[in-house]
Amino acid sequence: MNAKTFSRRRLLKGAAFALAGAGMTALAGCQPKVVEVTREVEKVVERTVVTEKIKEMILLRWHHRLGGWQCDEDRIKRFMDEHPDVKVNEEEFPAGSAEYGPKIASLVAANMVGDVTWVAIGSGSFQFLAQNNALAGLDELINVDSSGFSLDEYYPRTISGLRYGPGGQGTGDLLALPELAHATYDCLFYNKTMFDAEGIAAPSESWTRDDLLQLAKDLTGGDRFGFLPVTGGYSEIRYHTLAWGGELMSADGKTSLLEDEKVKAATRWVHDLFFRDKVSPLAQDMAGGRNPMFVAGQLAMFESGGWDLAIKSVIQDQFEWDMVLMPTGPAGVRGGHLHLDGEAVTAQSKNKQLAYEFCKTLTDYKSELGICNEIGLVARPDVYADPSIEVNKHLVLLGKSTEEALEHLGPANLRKQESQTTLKALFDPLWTGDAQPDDAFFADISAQWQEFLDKQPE
Amino acid sequence: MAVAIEKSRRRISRSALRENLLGYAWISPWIIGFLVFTLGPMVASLIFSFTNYRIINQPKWAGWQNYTYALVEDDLFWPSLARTFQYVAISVPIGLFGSLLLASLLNQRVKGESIFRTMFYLPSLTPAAAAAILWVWLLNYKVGLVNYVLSLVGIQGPPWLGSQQWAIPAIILIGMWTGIGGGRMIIFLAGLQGVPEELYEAAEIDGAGWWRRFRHITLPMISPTIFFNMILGIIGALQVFTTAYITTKGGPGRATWFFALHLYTHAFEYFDMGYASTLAWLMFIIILVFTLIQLRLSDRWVFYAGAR
Repeated sequence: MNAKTFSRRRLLKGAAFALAGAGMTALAGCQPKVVEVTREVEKVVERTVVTEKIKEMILLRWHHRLGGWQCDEDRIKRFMDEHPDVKVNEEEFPAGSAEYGPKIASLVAANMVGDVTWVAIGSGSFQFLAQNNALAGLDELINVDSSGFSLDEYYPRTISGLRYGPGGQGTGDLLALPELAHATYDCLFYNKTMFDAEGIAAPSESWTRDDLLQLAKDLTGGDRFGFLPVTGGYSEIRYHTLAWGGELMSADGKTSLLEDEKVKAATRWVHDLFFRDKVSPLAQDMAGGRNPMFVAGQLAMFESGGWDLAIKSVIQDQFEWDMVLMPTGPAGVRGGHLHLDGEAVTAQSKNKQLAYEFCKTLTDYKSELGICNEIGLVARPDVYADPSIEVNKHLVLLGKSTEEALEHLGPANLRKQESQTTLKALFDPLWTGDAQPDDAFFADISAQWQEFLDKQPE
Repeated sequence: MAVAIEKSRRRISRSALRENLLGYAWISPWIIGFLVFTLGPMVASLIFSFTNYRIINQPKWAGWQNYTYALVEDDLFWPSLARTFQYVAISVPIGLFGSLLLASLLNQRVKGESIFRTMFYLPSLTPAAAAAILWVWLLNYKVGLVNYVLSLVGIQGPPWLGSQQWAIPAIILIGMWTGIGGGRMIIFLAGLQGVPEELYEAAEIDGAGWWRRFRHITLPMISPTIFFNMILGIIGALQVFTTAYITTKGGPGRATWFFALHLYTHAFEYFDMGYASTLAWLMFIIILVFTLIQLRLSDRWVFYAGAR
């Protein structure tokens, strides 16, 4: 090629050098002029003063579940009023285990987690963080607390449920203060307008599971179903089993009890609702899900937890509805076992004392009263005795079910989330009709459940 | 003379070196991105696969423990793999056949060809999650359109996604709707349009019907295209995840617990990143083996025009 030819290569080289030259010229042109030096120095001095003021404030970061409560603002304001040198930053994440757990775990791994975090027994986030030393122990702070604070203010089982130590859950250090406590699935929601139209008496405190079944049969017909029980994983299956006096595993969380006659009896009762008595809709019958069916009058009753009081916002004025506690099972108990939410100080917090004080504010009487007025499910018995709560019969019932709730029990290997999905997978074929609850079925799932229980701790 | 030649060689080397450096400078953004976002994480995941790593703590070296656990002790590893292979064995041939059929139809040079091409291609533009939610409703046992249409011809539709027997066929059906008219069809169409017309004319003159022309001309001539689509189809099908995750979450009763879902669950629900990395590398090896086998076998049936 002739060296004097203006080639594409030379064009590109020239463009690259031109760009570099233009950039350097622009940088040179941005040099501050001498006449602005004084103004810049003044700005720096101002910024330093402001920075020093900000440095005196302590920032507390609180990780909370998304869609918190109206009382959250009050709680934060009250704490900041009592601690004028503290600013609380609420960072909300979606509450489900698929979102909140990985988010907090990532923050811990990156050394960027805040000071206080919401934890839950039911979703397994408490167990996971506790086992991996991500939560700070509170016992030492409580022991030197001279403010008059006492753990007796909470339900005793909520305190033991939030302890974790070498002996597993329920032992060792207290790692969170209880915020919410509730029994699983002890509530029965029913369409009162439908009952009145059918001339059927509303459920009462003294009724039995047989009464429930008869009621469901009376209300089933056409495209309407009488009752929908909970089905699912570990929490749901255990709920039914406890009502029959059974248990899914031994007290040490290591041995499968799925072949126990009480487990079989409870499971068969639920199975019969779907396939023998046909009072419960199968999943394939539930277009749109449970709530739309209930609102449309295609479902007369369903069992759930107290959190489903929120269904009032779905029903609005369409019909009258009510909630009572589920009848007790053959063992004389309803079957609801305790689930807890708490507020914990993170091990990485650089302000553990303040974070502990904030946890106390989040779970004190005023805060819990605010929460109770919104959703019930609180961890303090004194709140349920408050005059504003006592006039709300639903909240009173929730308090009763919390007091009666049985102990939480998880697998010894602390694989809480995995236990939920494992049992769901084992029992699902029953609810789809792909398996029958015969002895062979229970033998098979018991072996698989034992394989899970034998897994090493996480 | 020798000195002049040596000087000339050095001049060429220096300018070649400058050009090479300039070239690398221009592609450096891509190289940095590849190292940081692809190769780097791959190497990291390979290391993690030999550790116990729960995100929240430092990884602890575990040697071959994760691999042993996967191959010998994990009671969901082989079933999930078998389920995934089952999905591949059914969905890939159906997908290839369907895409080829649509491409053949589009190759007919009828009026409105571009409109048909757009209509066939549109489902592939639907985001996978949206398509899955749409099909949850279409396949609803009571109110779904599919069972309604079946009822018109006297067939009682199954519970589809609510049945252990029908869940995988349902997911295959969803995959066909989004996949048949997509890129695979376009690639087949390009392949069909590349077959020389004179071959068909010669065959017609010799009295060959449409089937013989298809079997003896079209298929061999587009065999490289079939091979390409098959490789990509198998790789994609081995990684089936989104539809199963959204529609059934692996149920009912683990009927749709595919390998990718097993990996995802260990990574993001159980936070067992070490074991999840192990599963990812095992899948990589499986895909690699599959691809190498296909490449080996391709000599027997893939015809490259112009090759000896």
